[in-house]
Amino acid sequence: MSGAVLELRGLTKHFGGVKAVQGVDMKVEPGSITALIGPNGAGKTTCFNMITGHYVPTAGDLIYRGQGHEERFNGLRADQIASKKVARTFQNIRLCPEQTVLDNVRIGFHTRRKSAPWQVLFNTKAFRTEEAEMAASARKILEFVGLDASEESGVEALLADSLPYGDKRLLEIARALASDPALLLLDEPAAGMNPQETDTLMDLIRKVRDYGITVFLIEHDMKLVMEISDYVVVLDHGEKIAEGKPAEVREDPAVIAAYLGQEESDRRSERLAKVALEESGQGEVQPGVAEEPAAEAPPAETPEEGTS
Amino acid sequence: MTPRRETRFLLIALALLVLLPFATQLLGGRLWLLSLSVASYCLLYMINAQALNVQVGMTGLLNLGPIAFVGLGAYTGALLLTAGDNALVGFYAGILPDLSGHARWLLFFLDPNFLAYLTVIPVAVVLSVLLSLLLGIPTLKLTGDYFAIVTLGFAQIFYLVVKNEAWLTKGSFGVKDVPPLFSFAAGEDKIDFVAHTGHYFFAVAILAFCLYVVIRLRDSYLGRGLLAVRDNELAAQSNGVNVTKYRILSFVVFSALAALGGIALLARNKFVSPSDLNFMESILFLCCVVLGGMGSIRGVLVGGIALGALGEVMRLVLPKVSAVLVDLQIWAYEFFGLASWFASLGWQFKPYELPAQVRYVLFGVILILVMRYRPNGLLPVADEEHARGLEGKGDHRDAEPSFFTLGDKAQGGEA
Repeated sequence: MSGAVLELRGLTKHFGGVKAVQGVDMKVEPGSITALIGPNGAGKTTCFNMITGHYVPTAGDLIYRGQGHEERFNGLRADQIASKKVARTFQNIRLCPEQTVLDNVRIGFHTRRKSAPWQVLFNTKAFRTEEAEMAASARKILEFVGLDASEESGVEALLADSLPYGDKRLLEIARALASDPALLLLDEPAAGMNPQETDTLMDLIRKVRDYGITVFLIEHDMKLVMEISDYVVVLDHGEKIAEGKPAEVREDPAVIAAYLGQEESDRRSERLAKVALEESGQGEVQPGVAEEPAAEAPPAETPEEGTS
Repeated sequence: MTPRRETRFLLIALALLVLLPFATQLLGGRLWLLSLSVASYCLLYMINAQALNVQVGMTGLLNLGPIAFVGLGAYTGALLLTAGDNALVGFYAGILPDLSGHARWLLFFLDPNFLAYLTVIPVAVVLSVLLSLLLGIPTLKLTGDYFAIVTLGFAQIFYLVVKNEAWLTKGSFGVKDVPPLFSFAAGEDKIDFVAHTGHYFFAVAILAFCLYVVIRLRDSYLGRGLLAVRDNELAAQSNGVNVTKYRILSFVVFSALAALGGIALLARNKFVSPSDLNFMESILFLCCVVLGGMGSIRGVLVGGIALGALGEVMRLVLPKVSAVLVDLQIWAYEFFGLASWFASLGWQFKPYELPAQVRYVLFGVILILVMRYRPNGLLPVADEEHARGLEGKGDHRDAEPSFFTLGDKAQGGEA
């Protein structure tokens, strides 16, 4: 496979006069964890919705190479895109609340089943085998994402609505994984999770990546973004303002300005300049001094990661 | 593998329905016929409610005109069976060999009338499905209330067409003298069991078929697709479910089963007229679904029995209640000597009679009470799902999880 799994070329979405996304170019490399960040209303979810076919782009191209060849996603319906091994989760959890945990995962197999309607009607052996295999696989996937799917726990028979919040997020990921995706889009997977749950989630996302699934995620939790992503793209007001490795993006003045306003960005550059002056003067920097402004800025909430 | 609770419930229900005529036969002639009339009426509700449940309960599409599809089935059957002076029955009578010396069961199944009924079933189903496609393809992109309005309007149009296009449908008089399900008539003195119960068992068979189709549908990727469309359209799409296609699927399954319901109606009444296409019937089917529990197969079955029985019993009992009330009024009028008082006021004494529509009022009250105390229906699907999940757990324990490819990739990666 050559080139990026997903490539956005001048992707644009206007809602009437509102320019939600404006000419975004970016790539998602195979086997990577790529993060899309930006302040609220920056157009991140709009981007996701265009990728998964829920919105039709006003302009631009979506190039996908998840199946070994290049295809354009423009003009495809959401279900057609889903059948091309692109799976997603949603910012506000979208499960089928009145169905069991197991059935929710089984919906994820929809693009992979082979039996025809007549086989369903006559309950053929092939159909029964397929259903049984699906159920068994669904249990494996529940275990994989860290939901207790053991016989005794009875979790799989619970209604999805009765799960705690964090588990609902995991269940949504399980459903997405059931389609055996090449590209997994996660829209704010850590939203509403406590620190322990976020840690577990990070491990899970890494595990998913290690199994060869490319992960593309939107996230506000900077600790998660900075720790696990290989590449970060920053949007603001629908336009790409920065991209690069997490550490590079964190230091980018445009990103700081987007998150904290221009003033803060200026103050920070001033301080950095001062530090640089001191550095040239004393020939040695006290790490704590350089870290101080970074600790205040949300994109650099992880002081332990420190200077690159 | 022990049979699942739901399957057991449905099998017991069907067995009871089969045994019912034998049991009530012990009550004797008139009561037997009465019980058959009520039970076969219930069956129609059960069949049509199951059909409607696919669309309303499983897919979440509010259809306010199911009676149009039931009516189409009944009218197609009636017109084909009566066409050319019962030509179809005549055709089968002509080609069938003389079976008089043979076993009795052979007589039932190779009866010319019965074969004619079997022949019109596929025609009715195909026509009904075509009609559902005709109506569904342009309108199923509409959601919620808009679709409900379209079906409501369609049912009214269908009613008016049937009533006014007399050259085809015989107009408001309806299609009379439809051949019965079996050619042998009931003896004058002796009540022939099959002649009276044939249509009843025919309807039980149709109900069993409907239940089979609906269960197969629900326990497959098709049913999960329908439920996903109902519960979360966006999530359904993201998992590869073509929402429009699945909505059409639900409409097609509904219309096919509703056409069968129409044939059952025809076999029972041997007559169909525009008054069978009353809008209230649509609402009552819908009530069965809501009352029993949307999407719950057991619940809808119970809903059908409850409303069907209630409706038919009230149809029989209300005139008697009304007569008693009239008697009471007359008695009070005479006992209290109200005649002079009425005369002084210039009133005419006319006892009040209960109108037949009072039963609809009672349906409304019952529906309100059920919604108040059991908002998810009598046998809601939530309990059922839970039980289903728990009981189905052992089924697939030994299956090889071939769909689980995540692990395979990891092993490949390590190698």
